[in-house]
Amino acid sequence: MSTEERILKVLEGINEKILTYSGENMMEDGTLDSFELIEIVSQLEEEFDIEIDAEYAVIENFANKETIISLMKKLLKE
Amino acid sequence: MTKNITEWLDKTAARFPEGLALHDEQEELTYQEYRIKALGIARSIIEKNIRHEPVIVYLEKGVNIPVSFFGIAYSGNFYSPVDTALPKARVSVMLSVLQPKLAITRRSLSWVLDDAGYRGERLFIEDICPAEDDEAVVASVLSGAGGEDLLYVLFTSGSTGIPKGVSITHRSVINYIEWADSVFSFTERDSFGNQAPFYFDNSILDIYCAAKSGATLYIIPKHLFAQPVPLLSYLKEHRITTIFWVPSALIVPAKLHAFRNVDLTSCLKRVLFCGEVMPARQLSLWRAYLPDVCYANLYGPTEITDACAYYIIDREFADYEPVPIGKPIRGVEMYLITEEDGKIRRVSKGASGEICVAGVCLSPGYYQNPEKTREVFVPNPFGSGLMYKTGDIGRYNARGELEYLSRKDFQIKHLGHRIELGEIETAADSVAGVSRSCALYDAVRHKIVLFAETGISSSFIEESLAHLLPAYMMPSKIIIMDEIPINCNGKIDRTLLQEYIT
Repeated sequence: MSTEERILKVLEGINEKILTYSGENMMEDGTLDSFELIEIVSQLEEEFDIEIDAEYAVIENFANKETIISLMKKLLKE
Repeated sequence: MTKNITEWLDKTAARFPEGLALHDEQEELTYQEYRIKALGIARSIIEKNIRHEPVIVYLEKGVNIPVSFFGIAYSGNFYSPVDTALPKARVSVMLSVLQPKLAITRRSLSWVLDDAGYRGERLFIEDICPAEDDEAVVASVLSGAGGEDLLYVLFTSGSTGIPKGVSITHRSVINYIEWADSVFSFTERDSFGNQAPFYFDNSILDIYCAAKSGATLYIIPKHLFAQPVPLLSYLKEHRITTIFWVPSALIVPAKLHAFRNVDLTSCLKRVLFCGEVMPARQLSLWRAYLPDVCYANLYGPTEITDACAYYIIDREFADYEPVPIGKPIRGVEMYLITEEDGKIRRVSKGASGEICVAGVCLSPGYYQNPEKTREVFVPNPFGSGLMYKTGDIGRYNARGELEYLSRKDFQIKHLGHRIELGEIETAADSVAGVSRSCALYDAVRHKIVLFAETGISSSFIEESLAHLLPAYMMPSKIIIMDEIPINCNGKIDRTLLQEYIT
């Protein structure tokens, strides 16, 4: 599986609505809540065996699935 | 003795007229400005000859809401804040319960009230002129409202689909705030970092403790609560000394270890929490990073004026140990009861029972709903007056501290909000094509799941529910079933469905 597919699988397991969300800010729109944010961070850390610093937990990085993928690629230096 | 909460603002504005009282992203007010703007609102209301009536506050979150609360109290009326994010159908239900004659709003929001069927008078916040020391207004208030008069009506979820308006008096709020002030010793050097929405009763501690002590109330922008490092940076930048948040808001910075990025040791003094269970593991993280802070767990439903019991954290807890809710605050009695054959008796030592509360904190009941009031506000068999049956199950631990265990009905706490699952079911059942439904809570994943017996699509149900329910009540998942399972008593088999989601 590619990095992108692995990320999408994690997101789908937490909240499948993230995959179909097409807006600009899924936290403000109510698609993603704070518990799910924590869950995404901790599952992505586990999946990729990295530590995601709290400073990355900002709306710009968790606005939609594309920004999450882009953040992970940056952290994984891909 | 304080009779009306406005006396606090009068005294504080006299002591610290130039002290910073309120701050939001757009605006700041000193205590002098706070008071004269509130008096300006009061004068406009009094000119309309409205007294002892509910006044709704329909404004986006910001400094103008506490100002309006004081203005309404100065005018001898009582307030009911309505969240501007609510669907209009729900606003309409609240309006039908309250039948308000006046709304404080702004022109850009006012159309929603029109759409919700509101036909009463309006006072636009942008038209308010500050009333320089309007002694006539103050005299009018002091001769009238206060004590047993209502201060506010806040709405909570109702199991039958209609939200309940909990009414609270000046006297109850005065008892609560004076207790909080005596325990936590707030001063004009303190700063509160407000998280609670103003339609949620946790906010009364922020608003009134600040006004009583001369502290500053910082209204933290909502979007920061999903961003732990910017959130803690905000606390540091504004030198916040006191936060009173729901545990859901405290968990994010703890779980993501945001304390490594921002050091709050030089400013934060008190972390209070209430509204849902605080997980011991997250509390331990807060305490590890900020060991000198005073942590307190407060307990209480809206019906008893925000909190009726408290526990100052004084020891370590194992990860899955419940954090006690402690002991009653001043002027409050608490009992653990069981009912058999209609008789109420206290449970034996160490046994679990329903938590009941009596004393000055008690609401006079649900606004315009005597039937629902009689169900849960019952004659106190252990003392005088009434006692409130909370529906919460608790027990005393070996140290004699009260612990919350569970609910005896289908009420849940989700992201700090109190929700009756029955209200979600009533809304789902009202969608054309849904035969019956069952809402359950997945407490592990913090998700509301709705089962619907229907041939229509889950997206249609979701769209319909969005017009009826607040966002925090919306199910995370809707599962369509040909037939919802029924148990041997002919009721929906919730146990089987619960297994399905866990």
